[in-house]
Amino acid sequence: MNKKSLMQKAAAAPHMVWSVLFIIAPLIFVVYYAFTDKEGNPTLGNITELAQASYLEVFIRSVCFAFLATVICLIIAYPIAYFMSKAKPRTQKILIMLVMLPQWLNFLIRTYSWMALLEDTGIINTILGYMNIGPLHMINTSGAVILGMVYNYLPYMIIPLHSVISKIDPRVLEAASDLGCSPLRVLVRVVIPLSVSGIVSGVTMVFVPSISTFYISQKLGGGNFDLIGDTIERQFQTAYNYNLGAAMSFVLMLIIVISMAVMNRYSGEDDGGVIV
Amino acid sequence: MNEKKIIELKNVAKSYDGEMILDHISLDVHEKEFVTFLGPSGCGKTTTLRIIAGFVTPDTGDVVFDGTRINDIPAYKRHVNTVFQKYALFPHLNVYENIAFALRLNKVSEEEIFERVEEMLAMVNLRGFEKRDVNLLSGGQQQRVAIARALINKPKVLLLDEPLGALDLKLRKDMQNELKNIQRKTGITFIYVTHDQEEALSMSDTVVVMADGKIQQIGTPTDIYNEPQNAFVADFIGESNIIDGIMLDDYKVRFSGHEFECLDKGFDKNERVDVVVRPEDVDVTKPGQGMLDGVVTSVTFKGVHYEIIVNINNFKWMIQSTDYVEPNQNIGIYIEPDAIHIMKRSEYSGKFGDYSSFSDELEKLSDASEEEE
Amino acid sequence: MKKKVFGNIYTVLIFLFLYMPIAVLILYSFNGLNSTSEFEGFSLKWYRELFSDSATLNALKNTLILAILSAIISTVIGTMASYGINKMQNKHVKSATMSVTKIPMVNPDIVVGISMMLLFVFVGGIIGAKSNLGFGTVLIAHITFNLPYVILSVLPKFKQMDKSLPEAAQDLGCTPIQSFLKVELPAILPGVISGLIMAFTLSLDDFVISYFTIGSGFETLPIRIYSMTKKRVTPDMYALSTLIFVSILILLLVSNLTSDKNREKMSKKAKKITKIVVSAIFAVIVIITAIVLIVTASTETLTLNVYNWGEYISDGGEDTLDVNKAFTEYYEDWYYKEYGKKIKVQLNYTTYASNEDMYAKLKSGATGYDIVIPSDYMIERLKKEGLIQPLDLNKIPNYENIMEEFRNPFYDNGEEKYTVMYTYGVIGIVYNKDRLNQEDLEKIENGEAGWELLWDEDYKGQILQFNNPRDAMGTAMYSLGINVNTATDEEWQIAFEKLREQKPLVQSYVMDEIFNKMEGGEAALAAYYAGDCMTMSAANPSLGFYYPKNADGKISTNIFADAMCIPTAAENTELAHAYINFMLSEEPAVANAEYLYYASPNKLVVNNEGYRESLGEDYDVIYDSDLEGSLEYMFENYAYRNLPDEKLHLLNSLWETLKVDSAAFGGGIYIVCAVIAAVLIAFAIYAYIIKRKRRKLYWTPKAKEQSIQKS
Repeated sequence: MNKKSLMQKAAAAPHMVWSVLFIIAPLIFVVYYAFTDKEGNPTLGNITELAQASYLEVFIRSVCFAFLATVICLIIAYPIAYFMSKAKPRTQKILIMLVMLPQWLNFLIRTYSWMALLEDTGIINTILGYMNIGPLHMINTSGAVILGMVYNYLPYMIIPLHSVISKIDPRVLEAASDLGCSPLRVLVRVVIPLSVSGIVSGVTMVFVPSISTFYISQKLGGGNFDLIGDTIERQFQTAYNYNLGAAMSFVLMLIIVISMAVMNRYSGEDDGGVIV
Repeated sequence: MNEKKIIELKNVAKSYDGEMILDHISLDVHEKEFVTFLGPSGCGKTTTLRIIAGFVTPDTGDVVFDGTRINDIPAYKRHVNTVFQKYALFPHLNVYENIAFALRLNKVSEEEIFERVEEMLAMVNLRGFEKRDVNLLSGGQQQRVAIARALINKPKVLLLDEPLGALDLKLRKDMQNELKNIQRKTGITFIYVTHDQEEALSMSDTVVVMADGKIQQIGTPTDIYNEPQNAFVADFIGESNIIDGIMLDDYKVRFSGHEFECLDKGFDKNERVDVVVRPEDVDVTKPGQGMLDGVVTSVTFKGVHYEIIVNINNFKWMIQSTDYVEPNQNIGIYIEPDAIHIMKRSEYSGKFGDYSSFSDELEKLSDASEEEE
Repeated sequence: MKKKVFGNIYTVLIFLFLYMPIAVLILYSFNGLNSTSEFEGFSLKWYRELFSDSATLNALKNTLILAILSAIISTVIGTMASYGINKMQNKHVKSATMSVTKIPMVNPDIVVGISMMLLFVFVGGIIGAKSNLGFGTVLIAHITFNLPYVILSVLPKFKQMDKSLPEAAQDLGCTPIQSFLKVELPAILPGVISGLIMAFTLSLDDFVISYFTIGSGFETLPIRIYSMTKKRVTPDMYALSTLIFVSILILLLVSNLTSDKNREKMSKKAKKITKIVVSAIFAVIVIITAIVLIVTASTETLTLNVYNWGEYISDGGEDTLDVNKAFTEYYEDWYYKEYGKKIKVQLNYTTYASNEDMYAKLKSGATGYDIVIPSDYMIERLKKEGLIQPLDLNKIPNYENIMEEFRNPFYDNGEEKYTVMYTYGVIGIVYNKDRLNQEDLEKIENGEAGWELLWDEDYKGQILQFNNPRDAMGTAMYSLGINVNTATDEEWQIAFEKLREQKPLVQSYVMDEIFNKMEGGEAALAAYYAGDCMTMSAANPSLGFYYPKNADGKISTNIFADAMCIPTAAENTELAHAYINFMLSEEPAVANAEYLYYASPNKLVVNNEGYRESLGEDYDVIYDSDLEGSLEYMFENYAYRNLPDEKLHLLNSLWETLKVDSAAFGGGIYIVCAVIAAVLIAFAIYAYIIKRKRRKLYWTPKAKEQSIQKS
């Protein structure tokens, strides 16, 4: 018995050692760098530097962009997840496959492809030109950045929503309509409240990468306005200012932890349902 | 039944993918009646129920509710409520909100909602459970919530789709009584679907036996038991020995190489018929002293009685007797004329082989395989 | 019915949205031209190019090796961990382990990336490692982010498994190990396989984490795509993506079709197929690993890591000489003749977009580079910080090809030589004739145009600016007449204000991206390195370029020299010297000069007839461009010098301020955001109030009692 339990402990040991070395220790380093200066002396200078108006705006802007992208993803994804869950199982399988398929292509090249679509002399404007419309200026705008986020992370919203909605017992829906709910009310009073867990995980899976992206904003935004990811990336790859970059990452983690906590707080307990 | 008709099905048919599920059935349900649809799975009983509820639209035929045709009225506008198989409670709502659900749709004041929910909770003996999470309730409690939820709108008709199927035996018996009481108290018409013949017989005013998308027999429980109309009904309701026979004349039937007196008449001379003898109606005698002789092949103690299988002319009879006999013993049997019930031959004749008893376990197995599909 | 039609239309629209960029990508993989703005003819040219693009294929191979290794290792560790976690008795330990495990999943990629980078850099610094980042670090990073996915797909299988299963097996006579292999493993195998596949695909697709943890000499496909998308993606990358897309599509369709068939009938066959697929995958893995091992073991491989500017070498595209390939062939040959031994030269060529990027990379300890080619002022800095080493000129006999006047540049005029000049050039302004107004065009033609066009309101949103602090500040300082090397703090501040003033006009801050944007006609004006400007105007005839002049009509711009150096931490200085020597020989030097349109300090190039001919008029522009005074004078007065630390710090912080400054940003989006947030909050409050109201009656026992009494 003793030997056995020892074996069981040993089985998890490599992972635990690995976690300490490569998950916890790096995070400690983030904190360490965030609160020291270049010489390694403790300081709050990095954090106070971030309190400048321009950095604050970077944070607000990133949160806004990510928030909008998430909301748009949710609005687009919910109906499609709903329609998908109504299809035949075989069709559903194929549709899910089709949703995930683009993700197999590297996101850099797909985003780059959007540049070719959105440019002033790009494909969309060329087509619009034939119809004597435009040219519309789309690239290098905040709209283009949000579009890029929505495009890249939409599948991460559709999949969890679909998996939750398709698992709702059809009898529960029948019960609702039996008790007098019109189809719209079934959706609002039963389907949506029952898909809260899918909404939460979808929102997380879209919000987190959106708020920390740097590639999308560089390519589709033209690098004219920084998002948090851009600023962090620059500190590590160009400006060689690890301390400031670490401080920004630290704040980014805080933002994410707080927003997740808020969301879980307001979606966790639910017995009143949504009102219409 | 003097009550007026509340639901009429007129020549209703439904098929899926070319397979006939309901084969032109017609049926009347009266007010305050407790009607049970009884039959094996796949017989169309649940489809009938769903047609009444509005979840399924019939291909042909009319559904009439309280004198108006309701074929095209969606489920949510019908004054019919359903208690679902496995309850289908709203997992995101607590007990109180589940029951209050229907009222909330109609802008009823909070005070009234509270009163009516409390009333329902009292009726189903769930007072004090308001705040509970429905997912953590026991099966019986969930069942009660489902009933309360369906009844709160005071529907004219309550549809129950195998509501007790998921409960264990003891609980099922209690709930049967409770349901019957609720029905009596509220005076609501209950349409009840089950494959459990015992449940059907003990609760219903009227039993509708269904098989293969057709109604086999409609009648009171005693009629159904005592006067089955064909071999299927005889087999499905209770245990029976169904034997090929020939009607020699009125009140005279011949089977198992012996001539018997009976109480039935009106058949053609020498018409081939199905003869039903219930196992408890057969008396055991000494060999040669009864009407037929045979060898006991097995004896099983069943508590109240022994179940004896007797081989008579290569047909295995089932006999229930309080007297013990030895296996391999030769015995005689005696059957009273009123214990012999003669039925016209039907498509089900000869299907059930020797003595037969419908097996619940088999039913469940076939249920399971259906779900898998 | 109506609803269904609506649903179908909606679904089709969403899928159009999802597949539009992919369609574009596939379309351009068949383009006869190397352009994303024009399509001409159907051609399979890029598919052919793909198979001769050794760098891309090498990156693909690297990506696969990394994905396979990290997937296998993380699957082994993760499966063991799941076993252990499942058996854990202590709830707290268990939940703590699980929370830590999930961190890489919930943390943004960029934070995972930089946190690991910080760890590696710090630890590397402490143990004095020569190279902090490399294949090992990126492998560790991939395993780390794969682990949670493996564990989350294996752990449920352990949980679902009947606890008495292993006991039953041991009851029937299995040893614990047998019972694990014969009973437990088959039960969890589906989870293990799906974890393995998931880890593999995640690793295959990862860019962000690799980007921060990757070292020199190891380039994965996403990293290669990233550096490509900085300038322009060659269509052979589209071809590769198309191939990947099609093969995955086929794979998924096949797996979908086989698994959908009648299960009872097919189950045996399906099992067989699964078995075959699984064993095939394993076979492929084993074969690849074996090949890698054999190749590395049998022939000795010399590795050379070259880190250069993007688009800064003749790369074999469009019938030019592939200089890097030529070098490896040459050196392998030479080595065989010299030592009678066959070796393989593995040349890893990676690129950077600015001196500052390169500096940050070297500083971070990704110092496996054997060759870097920075600019003058950066060389001074590298020298000062001891990041490059003196050259052994005896090993570079071709050094004599460098013309006398380029042997003692200001950044390297000591006894020991640290550098060999690669090219030199001037910053000019490239413009699009179609987008400039007549007046300005005339001004340019008359040679009167200066920097002011970059600040011209007429070209708002059409101006590109350097995306690196020194060059961007330079444009402002030359236009203001401030000395770029001796500016005071106030002058720096003035130049910064000038850039800030320009920001609303700027379409984009770019480095290599400029090629695509200018050639595609997206922008009107940009300051850039003259050679690149000429490359651009060769590609798009609407483009022209000029050297900006100041108010006195004198050319006032930056002159720069880029030179080859060997970093102190180089791993193969022998090969690096050979590389530099090779680059100075006639054929590659001419090929480079023809390809780059930069002036060469190599006399063999300048005197090469073919080269002169091929350049035509451009030759004069490049070598005798009406510059003020001699080259020495230009270098003396117009080149950037390394700045003192406090000025550097000032420059960086001004640049940082400029970058995060958002003068050019419209605030409408904040309003939209605020409105949505307000609606959500209002709804939440409303829902809360309603809930409270509803609960009031039955939630508190007191209220309930009262109401019961009442009724």
